[in-house]
Amino acid sequence: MEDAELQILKQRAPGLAALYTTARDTILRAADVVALEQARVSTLGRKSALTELLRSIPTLPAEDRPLLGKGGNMVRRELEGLVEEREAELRRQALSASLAHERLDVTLPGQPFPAGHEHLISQTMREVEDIFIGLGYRIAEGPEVELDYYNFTALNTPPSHPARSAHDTFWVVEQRETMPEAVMDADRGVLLRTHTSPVQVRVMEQQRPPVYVVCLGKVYRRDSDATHTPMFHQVEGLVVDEGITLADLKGTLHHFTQEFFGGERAIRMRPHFFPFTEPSIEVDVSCELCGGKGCRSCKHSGWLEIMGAGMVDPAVYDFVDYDSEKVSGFAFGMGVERMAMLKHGIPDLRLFYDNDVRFLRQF
Amino acid sequence: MRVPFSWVKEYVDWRGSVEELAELLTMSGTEVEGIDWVGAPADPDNLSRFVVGKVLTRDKHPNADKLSLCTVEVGEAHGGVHQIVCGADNFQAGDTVAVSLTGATLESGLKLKKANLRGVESHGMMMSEQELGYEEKSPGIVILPDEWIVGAPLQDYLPVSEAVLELELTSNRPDCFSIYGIAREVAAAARLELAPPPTAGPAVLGGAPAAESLAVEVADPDLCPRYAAQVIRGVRVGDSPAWLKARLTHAGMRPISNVVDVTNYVMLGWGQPLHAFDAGKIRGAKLVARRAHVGERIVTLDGMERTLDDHMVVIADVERPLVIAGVFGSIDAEVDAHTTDLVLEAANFSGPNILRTELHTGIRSEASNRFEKGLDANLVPGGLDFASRLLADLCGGVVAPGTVDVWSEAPSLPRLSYRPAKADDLLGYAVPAQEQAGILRRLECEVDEGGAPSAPSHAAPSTAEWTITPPTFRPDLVREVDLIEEVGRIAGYDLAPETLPRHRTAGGLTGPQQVRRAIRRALAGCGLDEAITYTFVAPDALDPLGLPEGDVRLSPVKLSNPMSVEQSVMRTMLLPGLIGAVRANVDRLNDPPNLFEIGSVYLWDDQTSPAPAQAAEPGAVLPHEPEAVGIVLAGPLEVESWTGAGRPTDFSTLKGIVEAALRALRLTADFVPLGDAVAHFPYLHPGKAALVSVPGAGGVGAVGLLRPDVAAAYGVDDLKLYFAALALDRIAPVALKTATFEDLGAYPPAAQDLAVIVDRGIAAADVIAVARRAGGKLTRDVHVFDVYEGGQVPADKRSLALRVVMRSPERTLSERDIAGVRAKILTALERELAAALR
Repeated sequence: MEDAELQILKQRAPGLAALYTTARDTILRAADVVALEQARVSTLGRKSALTELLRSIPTLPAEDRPLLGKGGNMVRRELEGLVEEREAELRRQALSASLAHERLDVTLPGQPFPAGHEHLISQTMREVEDIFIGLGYRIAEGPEVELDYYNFTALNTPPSHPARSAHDTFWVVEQRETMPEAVMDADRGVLLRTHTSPVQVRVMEQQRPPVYVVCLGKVYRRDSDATHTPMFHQVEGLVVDEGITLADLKGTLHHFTQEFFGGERAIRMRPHFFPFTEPSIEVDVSCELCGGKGCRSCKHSGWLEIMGAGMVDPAVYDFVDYDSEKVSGFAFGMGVERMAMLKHGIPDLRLFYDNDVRFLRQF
Repeated sequence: MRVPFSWVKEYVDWRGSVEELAELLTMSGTEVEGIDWVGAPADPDNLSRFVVGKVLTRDKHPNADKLSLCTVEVGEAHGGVHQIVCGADNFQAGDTVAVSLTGATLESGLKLKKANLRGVESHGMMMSEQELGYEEKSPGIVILPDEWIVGAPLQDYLPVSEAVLELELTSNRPDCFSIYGIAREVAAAARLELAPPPTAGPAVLGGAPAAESLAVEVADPDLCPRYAAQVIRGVRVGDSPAWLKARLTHAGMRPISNVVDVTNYVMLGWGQPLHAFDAGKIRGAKLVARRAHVGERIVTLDGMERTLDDHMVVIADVERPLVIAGVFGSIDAEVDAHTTDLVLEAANFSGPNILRTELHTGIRSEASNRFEKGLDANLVPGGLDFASRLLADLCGGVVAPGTVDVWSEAPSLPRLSYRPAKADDLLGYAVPAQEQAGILRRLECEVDEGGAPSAPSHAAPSTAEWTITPPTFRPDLVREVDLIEEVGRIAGYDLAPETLPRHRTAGGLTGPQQVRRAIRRALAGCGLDEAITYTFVAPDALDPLGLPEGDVRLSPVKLSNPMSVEQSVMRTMLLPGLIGAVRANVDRLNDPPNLFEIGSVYLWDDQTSPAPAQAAEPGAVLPHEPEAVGIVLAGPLEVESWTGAGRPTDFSTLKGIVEAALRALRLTADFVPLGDAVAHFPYLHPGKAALVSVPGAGGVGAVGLLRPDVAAAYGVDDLKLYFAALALDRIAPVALKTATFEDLGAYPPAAQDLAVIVDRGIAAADVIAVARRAGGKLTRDVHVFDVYEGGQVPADKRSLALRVVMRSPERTLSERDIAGVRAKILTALERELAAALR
């Protein structure tokens, strides 16, 4: 009951008001559910003063009846509400008191659910794929055991090029019906691809421009130390369309490095040489550790080499019957492990192939 | 290649720092890997303490027999005359010497202090070549030419301190393998003047013409397009002057003798390798450039005997080979201390053939490293002249008039048509036509702009077509696009704006690529870690498996030049690699891991692919490379925890993982006992393995426990290994089909549990199949939720608890409906499988 209402009641029916305040205090003082029940019986029960009063109304003078009848009922509703509120309040208190005794050690480990990890190489490849899918590329694939033709010849690599030597490239003992007995020099048709670039040629044989593809996969070179493993993974990109320029290559690669490494990373293009691109470039990304000022990780240059690239050499178009007067394109290639090493600070390439779960579970 | 900074500055007037030069070279296409500072510390204060001095007096040290007490004039600016005690013996009063004054820090890091040597003060030091860093050991001090000005900074004459650019050169630029070639690049990129070639010949010639002392025959002009020789008589073989030793040492070669040093100096400076013969040792006064005979032997200068073949070219006299042409000399015609007359060779050899000889002999020399890239035959005369002059100047030789020069016609110069506008189109940025012409001219191309040049314009008319004649030392410039690269790189790729292509294709993954991603994610989601193992394995990697003879998995793709036997054949199964990964983890004391791998296997099976006609490799065949998924479980997936004991891995764990992986591809699978297929999977436990088949794809693999004897043979005998192999190439075509909505049903399902006792030999799948069929269309699902053996169940039987889920699309099932289905199922089970309700 609002204070103002109570004041009015006190003026007009002081007895009823006194009855109300006494009953209210009795209810609010109840300290537990049992006491509250007693309070309810004593204030609202059949033998309570209020009930007596309401029961006596018919015997009152006619002019008093409306006031006491209305007021009495109002007081009863008020008191019933108070009992309900008090009961809810007491139940809350009782629950809180009992919860206060229920304790467990929340610092104990959680129920161990098995959680596996995709290999960091797979994760990195997926990340690269998704960036280029966003740019409208498709993912192309090709065999790892490859023909010399696709790996070298159609990529404009001269027959005497050192990369073809048994020192650098794994050659395969072929299954030819007429194959001469293991003659090393004659045995030059099939190899383990040394880069993902042969997929370029296979894609261009299969389709006409426009071509927007990336190819990811295993490649092989005869090298083994902290920065070389005989098997590793590469990403190859190829775009052939009308009016493709070196500026398009630069914009594409800058977009890629921003997405992949995150943050504002500058790139620069240095002239280089590859048989299958002309002009050929190497691409550096600014060193994150030193912000380009020069540190040990970037050999004090402020730049980290991340890939080789260039405009597709017209000689390559000749092999796939594209017209270099009508279309132009760019290609780029980078090492997946190297990208992951730069991004995650991994010092030794061999960790990728140890398959030590302590490594696998870090990523 | 090592390029001393002061040497390149002899040929181009570079005023910037060496760091700026490195940046210029790197950004114009000559990668500088580093700058190597050699000699004394380069700060000006230190260098000012190295001066030219003159010995005024030399007397015996009063207290030491082996020391001299000298007075040395070093110029007024440095205090006039100093008293210096010296231990060398190769000088006298009046000699010009190299002096380091008190306070100088030497190449070795030693800082000179005023010294008291046996009671006599010494103010400085007369330096030897060793102390200058030019030689590893030198017997005495350096005696300098008398023309050098006393008191002048030594650095003006000799590189006391040198910055050496370490270049990473590409094989297409043989012209860059010389200091002069690098200077040309600097001049082109920095718009500087290039000095004239340093190849002027000797001032004085004398004696009989060269041709009277020597005949030259070239038997194989395809392998030796040019062979020229010069005769120099009366040389005195000895030590080289300090400046020459400095140049060679800083460029990475060791000084040997003045004659050999001159040939190396000219090679480094001009790019033409030379060879000096002792003329007296050439038998028959004749040199022949010919193919070696098969089995012909030669003892090279390193003392090794080499056996040659008939692809290699030798320079021989009438009796024997004297040089492996372009690669390495022999001891037979070596210049020695007694040599007086020289034959100096400058020749041109076929690059590919030199490369082959290098590979077959294992020899790679400074000369062959240049020849293998294909040198310009026009370097030959300059090389001879340059070296002849130096041999005359430094060795006292008299150069015979004329050279013997055998070469076929000079190849005609390519005339390339060039459109400046095409360059702008390909580069994506405009380089003004006059700038393009200027770049090409600085690179020594002849540029014919076709008719009188019009008023200078900033943009070339889009139709302009020029004729460009590249210099002969640039064999890489044969097409328009090669010239565009020159323009682009010299103008600078940093000019390129960043644009994106106009895309006209939509990106995305193919079906199989999506399948690969989905299964990888699902397997990782099951708690497996993904391994990537080497795809090449040992030839005996499959020996423990007991595969039947003739099995395709036993005929792997073999490498003809593996790095080790352990990595010499391509895998035909993922199993050995995965077991290796398990073992590696266990060896590192990790818990036994649960791994999977997705990758190709390589098979010479009936799905190999022949090379297409254009590949021009007749008969070549590529192996079949199907993609496979391998899973190996070596330990529990649910590990022990304070919340409860872990569940050990068993067959059902593996099966559950395979089912989950297939479910991620929206596939289900049937698992059937191996049966006859055990012959194909002899490495699996015959009773704890199954074939996996997928509706629409048929058999896609096998799962099971690895036989304990097989595990033992792989060195993991203490582990139970559960292994699965799935053929992803067979799964992919049916995977990830679009799911079609199935009505959820408006009426509630009802479940009935029945426990039936059946013979142990009856498969649960058969029980379920019978129940489903008998249950009719109201039966939506039947599955086993408990298996019980022992207790009251007879020994040869087991109890299977089935939960049957029924639902009607039309109404809520009544008690009668449910009882009816239950009865039909029980009857059928009893009739067909002799099952009894428990």
